[in-house]
Amino acid sequence: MKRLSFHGPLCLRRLPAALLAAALLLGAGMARAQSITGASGLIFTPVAGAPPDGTVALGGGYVGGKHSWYGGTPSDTPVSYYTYYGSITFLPFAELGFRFSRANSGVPEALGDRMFLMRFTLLREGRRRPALAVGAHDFLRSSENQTANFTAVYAVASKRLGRLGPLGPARLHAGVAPRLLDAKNYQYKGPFGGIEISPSPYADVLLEHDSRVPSAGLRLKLPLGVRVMGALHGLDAFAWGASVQRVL
Amino acid sequence: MRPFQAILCLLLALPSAAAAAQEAAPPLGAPEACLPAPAAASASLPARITACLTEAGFENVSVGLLREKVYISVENRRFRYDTRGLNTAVELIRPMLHGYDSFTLVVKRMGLVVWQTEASTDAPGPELAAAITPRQGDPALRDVTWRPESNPSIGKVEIVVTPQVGAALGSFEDPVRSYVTLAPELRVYAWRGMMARAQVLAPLQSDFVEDKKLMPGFLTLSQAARLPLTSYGLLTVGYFALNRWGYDARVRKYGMGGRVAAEARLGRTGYLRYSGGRWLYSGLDTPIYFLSGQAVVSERLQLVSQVGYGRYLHGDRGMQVQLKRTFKEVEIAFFGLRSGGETDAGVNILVPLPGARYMRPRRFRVRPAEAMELGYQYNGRALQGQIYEVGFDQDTFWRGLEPGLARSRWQTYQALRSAH
Repeated sequence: MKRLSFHGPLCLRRLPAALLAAALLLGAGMARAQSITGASGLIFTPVAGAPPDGTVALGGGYVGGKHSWYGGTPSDTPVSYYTYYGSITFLPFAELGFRFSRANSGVPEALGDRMFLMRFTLLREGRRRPALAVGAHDFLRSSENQTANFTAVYAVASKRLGRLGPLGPARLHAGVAPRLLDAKNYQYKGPFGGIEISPSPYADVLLEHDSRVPSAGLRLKLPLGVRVMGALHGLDAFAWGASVQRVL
Repeated sequence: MRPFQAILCLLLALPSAAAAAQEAAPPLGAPEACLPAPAAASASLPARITACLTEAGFENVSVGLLREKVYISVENRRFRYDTRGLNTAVELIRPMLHGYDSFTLVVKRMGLVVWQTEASTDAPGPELAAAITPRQGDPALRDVTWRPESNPSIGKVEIVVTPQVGAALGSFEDPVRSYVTLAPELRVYAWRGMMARAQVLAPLQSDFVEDKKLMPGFLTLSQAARLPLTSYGLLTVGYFALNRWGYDARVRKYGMGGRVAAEARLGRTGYLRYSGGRWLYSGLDTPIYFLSGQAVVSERLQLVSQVGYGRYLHGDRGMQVQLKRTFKEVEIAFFGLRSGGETDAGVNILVPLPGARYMRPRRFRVRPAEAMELGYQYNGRALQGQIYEVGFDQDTFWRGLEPGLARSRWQTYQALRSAH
């Protein structure tokens, strides 16, 4: 059994209302956005690089049950689940955060499965050189790994591609996640990658393969640092995410 | 009342409470100046500077003209952000120092000198904190430190109101147990370096049955002292958190202009709890100690690392590492500890509360707390690595005036001000 104490201004049972309040209160738009996993990325896959130094992000999302591997129950039948998270670019090259994943199983549970995440930018993007980052999710051990459901250790590279004609500027991401840690389940299994295309300053088209299934999504960049994303996980199951960012 | 409603009410109430306890602060970029007082021209320079700073709400003000140099001591309890307070003081002082190239600003806290710096009289900008060193043994400094002060902080009383919110894992029927508490406390400053605190915890909402009535918070007497060799001591006795009473002594030694510091903590504590109208207690049967060192890793990033080893409350011994970053007034510290065979990690966040400028410190005033602490610990119920908080430690004493970060804070503030 995991043990938890949380001190904070947000009542996590009322997260949507808190997120809405935060969205109204917090600041201006950002170049990067959070994936449903909590770290900056596409839909599920991470990207190299981090939001500007001191950026705090709060957000949440929903993952449908069709391609989910997360049960959160003793029977461990995969079900849909919600995520809610907070992250910060603690150093110009380091993004740190935590996330709760709450299974939509009907079985009462507390805050959900929790995990820490961290990512370090090793190389900034150059004219020819891609940005390179390494990261890890759910790396703290407890309950003999029975709660390590989203473990990942990965390396990812990102490179701007320039304009793709009328589609707008694009950015390519590719990475690999070897199984370096013992865990019950893994967020990524092997190679992953994706592309983001920005046909408008207010929207990104996201295409990715998260090492399990391909997904496609649309991310809207709204005022006050709000990002809203809708996606088809596995191209046939709905997923969404929303986040708000502010530079401290 | 549900937890979220209580928190929302508290958040909505805070700005109005803070507004009641503060005066309208000028815009960030607006320059400060003293109004010319009648007969000001005939007054001496020290008298004019003293009157100006005192009128602006600064305490422990003294001015000395020694060997063609001007020494000015000042303590800020008017502004929440100390860097802003010092900037205001410098802006007030500069126009009055015609004929002087520079002056020495001696910064105090609780009446004690914490550091001094040379400031130019004509050039605004980031030069103020360029020569920070907690220097001792300077006769001129001794003179300005111990001469009678205008608007002394001694003998003053204030009520500081702090909100506390928290949540913990509960049962399956009630998975999140939470509380929202208002913690007003009486603070008395009777002499130099002394602070007495009497705190009451008033729950607005609580899922913890035993916390639904008024409870005593910190009931402590603290004495800070400036020791030889750029060292500072702090002794606190009284009733602490985690139902502990006892004493807690700490000595911090600064080096390399404040960029590194070593600290030793020694304490002895016993059980003490107020329950059913009476106090339950044990003798001072638990010794604790903690030795730590800290260093400014990056002044530009305001990043400080800390490593410590010690004996914790339940007899376990272990070490703790921490990496703390300051973003203007927000502090975020990630920590990890290993003690008694258990490993744990978490984060502590310090968030400023509304109220950038408080009422001028008088014999008695009411104000909101400067900041609220939030924390998350991965293994929060573990007994290993627990240590009692005394409510006022060296970090609290130095908050906002850490000598190793003063220059960076000053530069950040000036950049922010220019942007406005």
